[in-house]
Amino acid sequence: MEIRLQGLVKKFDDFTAVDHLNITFEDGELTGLLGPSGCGKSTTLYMISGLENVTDGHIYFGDRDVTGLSPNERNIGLVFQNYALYPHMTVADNIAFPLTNMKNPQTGKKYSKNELREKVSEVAQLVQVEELLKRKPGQLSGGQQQRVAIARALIKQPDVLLLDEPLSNLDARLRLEMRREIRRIQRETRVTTIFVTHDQEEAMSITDRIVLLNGGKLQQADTAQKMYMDPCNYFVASFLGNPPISFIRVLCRNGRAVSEDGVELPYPTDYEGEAILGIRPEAWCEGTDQGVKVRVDSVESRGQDQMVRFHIGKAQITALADAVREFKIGEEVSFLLRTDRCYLFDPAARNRIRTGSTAV
Amino acid sequence: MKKRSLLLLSLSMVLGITFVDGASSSSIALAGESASSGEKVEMDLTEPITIQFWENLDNETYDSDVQKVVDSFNETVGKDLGITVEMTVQSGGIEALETNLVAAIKSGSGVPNVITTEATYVPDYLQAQAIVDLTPYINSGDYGLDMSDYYDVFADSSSSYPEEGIYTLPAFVSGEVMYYNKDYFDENQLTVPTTWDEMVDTATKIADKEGHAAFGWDDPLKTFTTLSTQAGAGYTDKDGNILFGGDNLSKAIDAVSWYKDQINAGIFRTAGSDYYFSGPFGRKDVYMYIGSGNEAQFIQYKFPEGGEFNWACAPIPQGKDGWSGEKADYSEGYLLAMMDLNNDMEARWASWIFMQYFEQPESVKTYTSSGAFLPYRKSVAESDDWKNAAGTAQIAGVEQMDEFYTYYGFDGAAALRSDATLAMQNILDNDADVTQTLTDLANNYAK
Amino acid sequence: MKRTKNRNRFVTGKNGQLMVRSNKAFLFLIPPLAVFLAFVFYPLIMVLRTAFYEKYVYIVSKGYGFGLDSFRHVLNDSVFWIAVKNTGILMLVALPATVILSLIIALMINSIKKLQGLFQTLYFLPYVTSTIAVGTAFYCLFHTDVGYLNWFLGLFGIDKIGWLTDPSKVIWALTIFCIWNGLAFKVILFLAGLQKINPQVYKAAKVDGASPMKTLFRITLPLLSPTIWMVVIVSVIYVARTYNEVYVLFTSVKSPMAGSGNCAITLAYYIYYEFFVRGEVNYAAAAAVMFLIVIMALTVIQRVISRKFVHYVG
Repeated sequence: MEIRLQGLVKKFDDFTAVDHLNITFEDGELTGLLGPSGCGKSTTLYMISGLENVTDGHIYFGDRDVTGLSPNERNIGLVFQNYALYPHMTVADNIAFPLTNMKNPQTGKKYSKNELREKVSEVAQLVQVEELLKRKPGQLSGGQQQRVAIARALIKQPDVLLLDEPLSNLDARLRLEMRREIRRIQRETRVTTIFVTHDQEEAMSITDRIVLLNGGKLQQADTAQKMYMDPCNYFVASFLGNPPISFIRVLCRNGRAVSEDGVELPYPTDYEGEAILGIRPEAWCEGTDQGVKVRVDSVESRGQDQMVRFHIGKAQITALADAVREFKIGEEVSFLLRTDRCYLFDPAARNRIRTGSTAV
Repeated sequence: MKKRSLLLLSLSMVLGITFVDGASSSSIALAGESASSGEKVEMDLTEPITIQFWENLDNETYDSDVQKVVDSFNETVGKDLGITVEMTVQSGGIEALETNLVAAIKSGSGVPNVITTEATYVPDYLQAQAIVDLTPYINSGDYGLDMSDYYDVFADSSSSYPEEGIYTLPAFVSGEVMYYNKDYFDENQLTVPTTWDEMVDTATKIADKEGHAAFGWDDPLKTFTTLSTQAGAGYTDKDGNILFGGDNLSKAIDAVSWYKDQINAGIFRTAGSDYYFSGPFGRKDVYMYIGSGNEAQFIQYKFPEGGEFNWACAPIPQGKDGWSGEKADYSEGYLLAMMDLNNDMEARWASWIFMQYFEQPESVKTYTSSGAFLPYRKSVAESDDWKNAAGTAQIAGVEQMDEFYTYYGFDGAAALRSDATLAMQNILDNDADVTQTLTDLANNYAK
Repeated sequence: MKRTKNRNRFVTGKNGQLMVRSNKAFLFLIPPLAVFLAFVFYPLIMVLRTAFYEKYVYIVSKGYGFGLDSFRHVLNDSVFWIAVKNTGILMLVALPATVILSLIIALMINSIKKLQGLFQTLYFLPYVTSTIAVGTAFYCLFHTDVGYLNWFLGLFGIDKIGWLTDPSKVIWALTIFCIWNGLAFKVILFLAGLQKINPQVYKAAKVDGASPMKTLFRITLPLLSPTIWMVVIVSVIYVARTYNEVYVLFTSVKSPMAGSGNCAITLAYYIYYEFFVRGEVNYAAAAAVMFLIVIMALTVIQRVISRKFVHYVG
């Protein structure tokens, strides 16, 4: 089921949480709704679910305008951040609960005990909780609770599965395991899935597409790869990437980019005027004397590579270098730039300046 | 192992405490024997002495009257002899006084010297040997008490206790009177009934005219005891033997049945939700009722807006065709008594000086002037200044002095009183069978 | 040289908690233990003892005889059985009514957002209002001739009812008063219990398509059941001990009878009545002992039920 948001607005008194969103979530895809705290991503998710009212705009599930419908009329599955399992019911009853509130579409009557057991077993197998069916939520670990929550959301075969920051309550290793699990389940069921997260690495690793929000406005909606390689504005560039991108204010003239403090950067460009130059850490290569000369401030090893920090003028730069090369603090190094990992941004509007030489 | 020994320990503790206590008497101080006649009671008060006086009226007007007597004592006789009386008003009335007093007696300290009390409590104080026989004091030379001026009923009741002796003196006396709506009686040319037959006539006339009951009696217990006495049976003698049992039971049953018939006929009624008849009387739901002379002060508050009327008091009806008993009207009173646990003869003498002063006609006049209490001394009751100052309830009360009877104090008096009240409530309000209920009551208390 | 302790001061208790051996602990226990022994344990034993006397003189604290006479007397006393009947009706009628009403009120208060604080305050006011004041107000409501209730019923042509005088009606006046008086505290307890429930559970139920009724019975109430249970337990003991309401509504300065013929008497009031009005301490003690047995029986029943029906979450 394709989900389409048209001109979606949400205001709380005077505060606009979601500002005219126009987004399409493709059918069968796992889309990440990404952004920093307070950007409106959870609010958007809850408006899609029907638990939050819409101030203006429309939401379409396929051809159906669901904007005014209550949650259970929308046929959605929702996994809450803290799972919200029913603590007094067994896992089996928790999973079965949505079905007990509706009629079996095949028979037109309420689900019988056997039918329920069958369905529960099916879904339990999918999320791999078959052995936990008789337990109560209090006896489950965080990861197990989440699987149960997912099972409960999926049992009625919803048109869309919504997950609100599903991994933020888990520890690091479990997080990695569970996000692969979510991916696997989504691939098996082919249900359109939207999941909210503030962790860009998470979003990048398992989603088909990312929708990035900031301040209630859409920044960019694209595949992870494209968003990383071709950010459409300053915010997108700064948000994705670990270690994060470094920025220098430059003046571009005569094909050259010169920093505020007069340092010439090895970045040829056609652009004329003031700009902010964004440089990905992996853009730096140690080069010949034609590069920019810098003094190493600090070195941090990450095992497979290392982060080298230095200054260009007042700007603090982080560069990623090969693990083999040993840098000493204070050492003077000459760096060149890979231009395909550098981006120019308008200093006022902060959107991306695209010119001939920077096309990827 | 540990648990079991702990259990045994606590069990033995429990048994120990319960059975040890039953055998011994409590920690009452070796109470002084009440001084018997012959022993010297007059003391020389060499040092100034303070006397504690507990009073129970708990009413601004009355308390200030009593305080006047206390103050005047302190300034005259007291000053000369070095006696100071400290008066404490027990807020909460007679029950509070009794509770505090019992606590003091049981703990052995803090017992006041002079108290006001009721006859029903005296047997308890006798058991605790805390109350003092006043006979030698009354007969003492310089500060004796001449009781010939007293109405008979008070002289008698002062010595009608389980033990020989005079243990109380009258202090605040009141009696039951009949209140009637004077305006209504004048308007309808009715005369105030003096017998029960006249009462039935008058009440029937009023009930026919107004369509509801005309008369009521505040306290069902007094209804029983007064009517039973008037019918020839009675309530109890001074030792607690019931007078309405045996051959007299039928007389009591007749009287109460007759009273109940009037209620069923709709001419008499009970107080119901109001507890006191001053309410219905003020609302003109009844035109006559019998209640304590103390009630007079409250009637003015019970008139609805613009519904004031003139009312007056009269003696209660006496006698009926076929009743063989004597005239009777219930009188209650708070009595003065002397308390002492420690055989402290000086304190007793000082207390007596005060009590004797309290019983003088001048003092009596002071605390019977505010419209509720009756003077128990003939000289005061017959004096013009008292008569001129007295209210209608007091005049009606004094008129009945020769008919007064009181409830005696004996062991178990409280229990009998409660059970008799219950019996009457069940009969008059809850439609219980008169014969059955009174027979049960008589049987329960037959000796 | 400091003597080394050859015994480990730290001990693992039954449930796996860490405990510390300490002799000083007993010293700290002595003050509260002394208070307990003097004011709870000793009086309790004395009451037990007094119940077995045949006669007891309070003022000299002397008891005579030993036997079941006092118990026999109480069991033969018709007033005692009125008390049992009234207390029983209160427990069977007033108790469930109060619990259910206060539950409904708490659910309603919990469901509104605006003015929630205002309603909480309003419903809690009876608890902090003096019972005497409340009783006086109810007296004015229930008065046979000039009471508001009879006036209101009169508008529909119903005859005046003797709420406070008619033996068959007094228990209803008492029940109504007890219900009203008991609501406040229970409403607060239920509100506290409701607020412990994770609010997202309600959202999950909404997404799962549960109707409001279904949410109430399958989700809210089961999750509230520990609180409901606690309220019931507390209330049973509280109702069994009803005394204030009787005193305030039915007795007066003149008469300590709980209604005409003691028709509105309850067990607790009966104990008071035997002691303070009739002055027979041993009967009061016997009644108190029987009352204790009843309460203990009720508590045992409650424990059995608790094991079967209450869902504790955690």
